Formats: sequence, structure tokens, C-alpha cells
Amino acid sequence: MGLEKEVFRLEEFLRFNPINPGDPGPEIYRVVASLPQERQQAVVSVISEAVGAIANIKGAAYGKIAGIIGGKTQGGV
Amino acid sequence: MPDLLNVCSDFGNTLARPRDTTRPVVLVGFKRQGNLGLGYLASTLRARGYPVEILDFEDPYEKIRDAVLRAQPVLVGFSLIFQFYIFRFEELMRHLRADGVSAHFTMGGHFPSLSHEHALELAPQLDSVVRFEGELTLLELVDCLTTGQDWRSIQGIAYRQSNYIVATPMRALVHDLDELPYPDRAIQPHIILGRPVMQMLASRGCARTCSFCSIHMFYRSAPGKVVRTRRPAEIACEMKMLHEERGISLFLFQDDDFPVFGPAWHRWTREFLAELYRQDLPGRILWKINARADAIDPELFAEMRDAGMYLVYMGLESGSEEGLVTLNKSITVQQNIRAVDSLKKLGILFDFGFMLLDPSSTFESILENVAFLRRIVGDGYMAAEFCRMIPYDGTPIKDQLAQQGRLRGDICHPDYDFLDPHLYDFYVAVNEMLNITGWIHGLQALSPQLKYAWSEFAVIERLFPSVPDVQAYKQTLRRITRQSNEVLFEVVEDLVYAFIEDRKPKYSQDALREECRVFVENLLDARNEYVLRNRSYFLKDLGVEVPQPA
Repeated sequence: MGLEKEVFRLEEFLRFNPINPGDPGPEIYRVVASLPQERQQAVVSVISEAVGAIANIKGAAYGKIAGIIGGKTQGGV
Repeated sequence: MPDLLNVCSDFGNTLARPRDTTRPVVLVGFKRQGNLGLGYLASTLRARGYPVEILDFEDPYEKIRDAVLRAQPVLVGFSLIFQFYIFRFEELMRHLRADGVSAHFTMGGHFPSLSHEHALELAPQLDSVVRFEGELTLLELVDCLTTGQDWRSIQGIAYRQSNYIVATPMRALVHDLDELPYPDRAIQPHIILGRPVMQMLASRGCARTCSFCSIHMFYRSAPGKVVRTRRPAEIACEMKMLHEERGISLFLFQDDDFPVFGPAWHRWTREFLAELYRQDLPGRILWKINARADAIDPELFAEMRDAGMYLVYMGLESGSEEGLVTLNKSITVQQNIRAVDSLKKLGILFDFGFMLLDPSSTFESILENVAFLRRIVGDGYMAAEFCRMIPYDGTPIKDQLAQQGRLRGDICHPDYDFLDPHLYDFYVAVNEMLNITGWIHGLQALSPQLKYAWSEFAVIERLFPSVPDVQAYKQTLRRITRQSNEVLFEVVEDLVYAFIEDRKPKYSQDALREECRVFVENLLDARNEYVLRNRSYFLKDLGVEVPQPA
């Protein structure tokens, strides 16, 4: 993101600050929201990577189970 | 302001009751985005002399505990707006009791009102439940507690007695909403481009009977007129006050169904618009409403747009006729499309609720739903988003599913069987695909950010007259929205065909996550570049002195 550094020179009230609508979600949302914006992205990246890794492990497990029982996977997940 | 000395009315009648206002009341609930429910409860109690403190449920436990211990309240009221948080509230109550809080514990909200027995079972620390509209019941409960009177005889509550649960006769809904004092708004408003945002209420109740919604059950269970509107002059006065005293420029009406359907409410809305003009607000403020698609009247909505309405949220819910019947929407797909087309023609932004899956779903209806979404937002007018229907407590569809033996899950995870068992696997697949990629749900997900960017754009277009190149920025936003919507539609369609044809889907989660990341990056780059480039214009329109380079 080329503009990342420049954006933080903007007045706080001109920055992009989406409302998190509806269900407040897991506790981690509140923790992330409480961080300065420039630190939020780093946390989000770690969480996204972890969630992705979990999904891959689950996907591989589905594949192994399918192999063992000779069935099909759940929509490829 | 409402006449507080009017003793011949719901609220006025409470004036003559004995009370001891030396001890405060503490209310605990979600404060994010404001909470008008808590705000009205607090202001009603304050208008009768009680000190009231509102605590944020999302604050750390120690902060809540210290505030409660410091206040020594006569009552702690818990506001439950998400039924699946009942266990977190129960945990909070248990800890407060263990830390020596002996105040009366009560709870209000849709779930405790409609499922009071369940709520009292799940939260044994509760002394009572305040059912349905809570202002007058809570006030009477506090009055009884402070003067040592028997609180168990008052209307509108439920409580435990030995081994069974007693519900007292229902209290009638507040007949005249303008009798209630303006709600407490002691929150830091959200800011969109320097313009503070605040929630408003023009009416309460909903005349419709959607099967998945507990709102109409909430209002129909208690006696009294279901839909009640405030006086237009009162609303405009409150908006003017908030604009002048706190600089509020965006008002989000939280009404279940803003009064715009039919001739009587057309008259009401036109009176409201006249009051806004009388207060000289159009051009200085914007406002958003929730409305049904069959209430979109082009002539009236053009007038509303001119008076500052910038966004209409509609619960469109389904693009399949059978889905709309199952959800008891009493509307057709064509009516939904007509509403969307009307709003686009008028240049009014719209947002919408949509359930890709409901109990009547088939793979064919999912394809119909995607075709509908492509029809309404395939042009990138708004970001596409959808969810699955959940059978919440107190809704007719939950009872129907139970009768059919299809209800599953528990209070925190209400669920049901689809007619085609393969749909559950499809749901898991689509859910994991889109949640993991951060497309619809999750931290900094794409769809909510796009929706926010569109709201922000409407604010730029209407409240920042000096800022140039608005149309070029709009085209950029539209392109990103259009392209990302199309990917979303293709992913869902491909997944449907993968199940029908028993093949692997074309999209992998990794590829989709990367695609989503690029869309988010493009969006933020476009937005930030535009605001940075025009910063001085934004500051000028906000009346902020532009710093000169040294």
C-alpha cells in the first residue's frame, strides 16, 4: 500500500474509519479497534494468516478422511 | 420538550408516586454506535430524579465491577440485544455477585421479553426481567425498590418464585412517545470525514409480520397501538439541538420501519420534511432511514432526498418468490427490483439485508438469489453482502421449524435442517470460503468497507460542496464495487455448480483471499489518494483553518 505512510499524516477525522456494524463479534475485535490504525493492520494480517492456515489444515484433514473412507470431500473444503 | 408536568398520561402519571432518589441506578449494555434503548431508559429515570450511570458491556470486567461498587446502585439493569450473549451476561452477573454486589439485577431486551422463562433459567442471578418496552416498568420497579414496596405486583415483569416463574400482566406500550424525555446520548459520536453521526428515533413498532423477525412479536405481545410515531416537530427540534450543540450532521434513524408507507404516513413524512425546513436543516445535515421496498414512492422519496435523506436500508432478504413467502415478507421479487430501480433513478444510495439461504432454499433458489443480486448491484451501485436466516427466539419461523422437527442447535447457535441435506455442506463451504477470505465477515472485511466508502461518498457529495472531482472518484468506487461483486457472485455460483456436478470448485481459498486483499488495497488507495489530494478543500468546508507550509 503505497499511501500507507502519507495517510497517517491526515487529520484523524479525515481518515477512513468504518463502523463495525451489528454483532460486536469476538473480543479480539475490541482489542484491535482500540489500537492506533497503523498497528491494526499488522494484527489483522496475523489473524488472517492464522485463519487461513487453520483452513488449510482442515482442508488437508478432509482430504485424508475422504481418502480413508473413500467418500468425497465437503465441496472441496 | 415534552411536558413533564402532564400528569394525565403514561409518563405524567409516574410523577405522583413516592420514590427515594438518593441511590443511583446502573445500566449495562452495548454502547457501540450508541444505544438508544439504554438512552431512553436512562433519561426516563433521570427525569424522575434518579442518578443513572451507563456502563459499556464491552469494557473490561474490572472497570465494570469498580464502577458498580463505587455507585452502590439500588438496581443494575442489563440490556441484552444479542441472544447469544446471554451466557456472557450471566458470567458478568455471577462475578458481580461474587464481588459483593447485592443490588437488584434485572434484564431487558427482545430475548428476555419474549423468552422470559428461558432468560431467568439461564441467568440465575437475575431477580427479575423487564418485559417489552421498559421505560415505565423500570421506573416503577426502581420506585418500589427504593421505598420498600412490593415490586412483584407491578405490570410488565417476570421473576422466580420458589420453583416456578411468574409473569405479571403486560404493561401497555407507551402511547405517546413524545412524553419520553430525549434519550441520554453521553457517547462519543462516530465521525465520518469530520461530520459527527448520531442515532435517532422517529417511531417504534412494525406493522409487518416477517417470519424471521422478533420485532413485531415484541410489539404485538404487549397491549396498545403497535406503531407509534413521534410528532415531526419534536424530531426536527431534537435534530436541530444536536446539530447546534454537538455538531451532529448525520442522523441514522433506527426505526424498525420508518413511517413512509401509505397515505397517512406520507402526510406524516411531508410534515416532518416541512419541520426540517422550518429548522433550516436541509443542506446542513444528512439522514438515513430503514424502509420496506414496497414503501418506496418516487415522488415522496425525491422530496426526502432534497431534505437530506442520503441512504435507505431495505430488508430485501430474498430474490426467490418462494424465499419471500417462507420469510413472510408479503412482497414480490418484482416489487423489490422496482424499489431498487426507483432509488437508483433518484440518485439515492441504498443498502440492503439479504439472506442467501433460508429454510426453503434449494440449489436453484440460491442461483436465483445470485441472479437477483447481480440484477440489483451488478453495476456496482452498492457492495453485495448476504447471510443465512437464523431462527431466533420469539420468531414465528422458529416455531414452524420446531413443529416440522427441523430445529437444531441451541440458544447461542440456533440452527435448522435444510430440505436438501447437501445444502448444509454447501453452507459450510460458502461460509468458510467467504469468512476466511475476509470478504463479508471478519476484521476489515471487504464488503463492509465498501459500504462504508459509499456512505462516505454520499457525505462528500452532499456536505462538501468545494471538493472537486467527485464524479471521477465515484466512477472509481463503482468500478471496484462492480468488479468485486462480480467475483463474489461467480464464487457462489461456481460453488453451487460444484455441488450439483460433484466437482471441485474453481476458486481456492488462498486465491480468493489474495483477490480480496487486492480489492481492499485498491479501495483504500483510491479513497486515501482522493482525500489526501483534496485535503485542503475538506478542511475548508469543515471550517478548519488550513495549515500553511512553513
